[in-house]
Amino acid sequence: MTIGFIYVAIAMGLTMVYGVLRILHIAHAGVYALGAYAGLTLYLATGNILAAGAVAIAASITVGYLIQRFVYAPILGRSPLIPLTLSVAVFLLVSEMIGIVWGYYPIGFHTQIPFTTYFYGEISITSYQVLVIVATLSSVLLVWLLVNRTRIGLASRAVAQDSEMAQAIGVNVKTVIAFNFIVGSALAGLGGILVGIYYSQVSPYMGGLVAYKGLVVIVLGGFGSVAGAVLGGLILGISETLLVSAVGNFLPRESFAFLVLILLLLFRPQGLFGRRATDRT
Amino acid sequence: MRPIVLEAYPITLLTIIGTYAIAAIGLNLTMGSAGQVNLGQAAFIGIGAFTSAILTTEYSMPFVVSLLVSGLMAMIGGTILGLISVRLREDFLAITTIGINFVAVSVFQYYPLFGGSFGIGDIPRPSFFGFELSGPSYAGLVYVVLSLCILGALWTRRSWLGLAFKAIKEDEIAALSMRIDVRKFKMIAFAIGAGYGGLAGCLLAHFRTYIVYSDFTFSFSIELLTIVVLGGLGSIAGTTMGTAIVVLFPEVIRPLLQYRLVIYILMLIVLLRFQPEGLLGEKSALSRYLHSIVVRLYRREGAH
Amino acid sequence: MASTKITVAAIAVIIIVVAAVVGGYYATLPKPTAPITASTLTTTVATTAPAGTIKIGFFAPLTGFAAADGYSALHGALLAVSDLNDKGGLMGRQVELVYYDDGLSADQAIAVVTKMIEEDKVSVVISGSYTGTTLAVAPIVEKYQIPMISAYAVHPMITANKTWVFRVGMMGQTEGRAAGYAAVKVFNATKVAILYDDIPFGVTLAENAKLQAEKMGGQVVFYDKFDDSETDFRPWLTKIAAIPDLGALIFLGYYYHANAITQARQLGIKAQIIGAEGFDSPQLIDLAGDAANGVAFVTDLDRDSSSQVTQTFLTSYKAHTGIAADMVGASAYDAVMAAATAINSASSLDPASIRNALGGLTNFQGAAGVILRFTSGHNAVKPMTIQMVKDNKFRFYAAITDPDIITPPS
Repeated sequence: MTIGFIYVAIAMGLTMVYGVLRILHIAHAGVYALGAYAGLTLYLATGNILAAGAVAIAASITVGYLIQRFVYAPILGRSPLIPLTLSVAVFLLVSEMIGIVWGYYPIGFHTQIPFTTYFYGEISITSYQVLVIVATLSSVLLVWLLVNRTRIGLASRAVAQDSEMAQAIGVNVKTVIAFNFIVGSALAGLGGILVGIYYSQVSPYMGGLVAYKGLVVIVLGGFGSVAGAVLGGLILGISETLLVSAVGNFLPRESFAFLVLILLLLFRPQGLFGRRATDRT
Repeated sequence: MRPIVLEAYPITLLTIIGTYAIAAIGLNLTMGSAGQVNLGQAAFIGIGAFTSAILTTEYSMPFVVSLLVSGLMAMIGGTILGLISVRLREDFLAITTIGINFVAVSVFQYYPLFGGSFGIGDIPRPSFFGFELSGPSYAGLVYVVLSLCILGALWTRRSWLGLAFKAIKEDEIAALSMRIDVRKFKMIAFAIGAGYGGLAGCLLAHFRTYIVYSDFTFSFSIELLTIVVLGGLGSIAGTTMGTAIVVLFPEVIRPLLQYRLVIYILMLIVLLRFQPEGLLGEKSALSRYLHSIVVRLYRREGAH
Repeated sequence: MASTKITVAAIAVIIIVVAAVVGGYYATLPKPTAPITASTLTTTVATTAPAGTIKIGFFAPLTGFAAADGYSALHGALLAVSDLNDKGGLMGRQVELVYYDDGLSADQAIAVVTKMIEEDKVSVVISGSYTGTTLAVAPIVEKYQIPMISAYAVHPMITANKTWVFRVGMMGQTEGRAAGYAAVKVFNATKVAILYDDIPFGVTLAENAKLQAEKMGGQVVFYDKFDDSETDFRPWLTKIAAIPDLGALIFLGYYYHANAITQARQLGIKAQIIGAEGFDSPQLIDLAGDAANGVAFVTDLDRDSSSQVTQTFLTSYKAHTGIAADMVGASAYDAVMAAATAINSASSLDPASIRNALGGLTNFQGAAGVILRFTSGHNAVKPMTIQMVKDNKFRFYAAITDPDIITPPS
């Protein structure tokens, strides 16, 4: 269930990128993994978890921005399959480079954060879970404030709704794109380091687990709707855990998410909150 | 001395190229000609592969029957996908097809009919009149099927089917207004593409002689997507070329050892970045060059 | 229509070009070879193979997510070749490891094994890869009649009905039995829980562990599987924690499932955790930290072994690679050494002679334990060891030598 919060952070970032560029940014998972590794490296060097978190975010912002500038920007405006293919290629590239630089074995991520369990009657919650929940909630709140209470956030929402119109009324679309990527990638990096700490390990292909689930979440929440992404992530996280304990594995977890998605789309093609998914035909 | 090309290693590569090309050409029909996204082609290849594996190992069916049934089963799967997809817009469709891939792989993994985690082995090579096909002869079979598939794709493109696809791809609403039954044609596009995938799956199963659920994951679909995009959406020659590149390039750069995958991906990124329409896509440098050659040839003929 | 003609012509040209490129390129391609001394993995490529060397072929996943195991195996194999050459080589000639990356893809594995047999003309093929790829290439070595030794893949089908394939590692059935035996006989558990990874490794071991545990009078009170990519085992562990008087939890996963151990401890599970070869990696301790202490697992690499071969291997591997050795590396080492021993005892490179010599090997002192002999199905009969984590190190806990347990079924 705690994992739902991580999906939320990742999905928010994905949604923001999708909102401005209409690209399914699978490379987001590569940014996430790199954030985790950057954070781990700094933690091993300094022992300071906050600095590690900051570096994780900084590294992912840099990589995310580079991807946007050098990979996506030049090829916009054509069939969306091209950026999708490139995005997957970049994700594989980042994962493989992590393997080459840091080694292919998973690396342990043990922090000095004391592991304690708090009990409230039947419910128990560990200090690690608290960390994840607090970190994700505060970042979600921060992003929500950014998007809904600042000028650039307003511009961002305008571009997400209708980029041509936004441009016509003077919005600097390039700045908005950069903004969305920076915020989105920061969320990915944060998610990465949190996952590393929570599970006490990182591995080069760790992004693989979230890459495709992230997609499910943004569809569940409706493309482009940040609120929907948040709710979608939580619902997915909770239902996965619940169903696994209740029914057992009649299908592996990943496909379970997709199965839910397919069924949902059959009956409600616009996702939970989003715009219409159907053609008007 | 035998000519080098007939030695087993190049033959193996040619066989792999041939089977992948069949699946890719099918995918190209769905995506390039009819404009429908299918990111789960590997699922249909898997359906074809497992169908043939089960038929030939459990029921000792003759190869040709098995090949046709594999294609048919995959086509049925594709039709179902088509049914689901008619109501979905592009990005939702993309993700749904990814989902179908994941779900199919999981079904292959969890249900004993498909060998579960173990997969199905000892898949027999086809025999005709007592002669067992393997190595060069099996490659020959693959290329016969590939040629038929290419002819089929060419014919489709030129036929009314192809025209309908083109209309839908360009502008669905306009197509509707011309009373084209968009739903039906979308389903056909998926069905044909999937059917090709099924044929490829059968050929792959008999080539590898052992298949398991993890052979048909989303990564395989991505490989096929890369092939089609690299070659140029809609271009059959481009798809063939893309297959050759995607299979051969990583082989050729083996001396690069652990950097092999990274270099390969970088090459893809660079190629796509600078030629996003694909190598033989519309208005690509290469296709314009080829076109100019053809034009010159025609002009020379006309001069006589 | 012009575009159709262009298409057809283009395709024909492409196919011809492809064939020519592949064939022609092939003739000039420098073969990647391992340097004769194997320090760390280097990227040098010799331009021509030194004349008169004996070539041993090797394939493993060196890219992609399985690269960790692939490299372990490669390091083990390179170390073996280096040791052989330091002692003068084989039959007076130097040994060369011709290795390729299979990217854990059946198609690539087929391609490279075909290549190494036909072009590089290797005398033996060693598989440092997983079940899927090894199975895909088995028909090739059968067809070309070249012996293949699988280092660590556990699937029974690899050696079943084959004449040329051997296995030096533990087999799924025997390892599973050993785990069941360990739970009931060594750790005296009456109630046993089994949680396994849903891949051939886990499935085979789980089935056999259950059979053996029940055969020895234990009761399997929990039996369930998880997906290989799982990171959160609490849904299962909570149920397991609720079982009263649970003696043992047989966990059939890998070192990267180390979370299961930490989570089990957090949930207060007191039962003895017993793993299998998947736990045999220094990563286990690195990832699980202190929680790993007390965890036992069944394997064939005994860190406290009195065998000189094992101890030299362990020191050497660590010195060359900087990482402590694991079962995968040791198995690959043994696969190469077994091939070398067979070649020496056959005094010939004739494939059939090598195969017969392999079949007749007895009391082979390997790094990963002693291979008493091979069964008629070409599986190794070898005693296993139970290792336990103490003070963050793997230590010997008990040996498993009962022939009923360690002999693979025929």
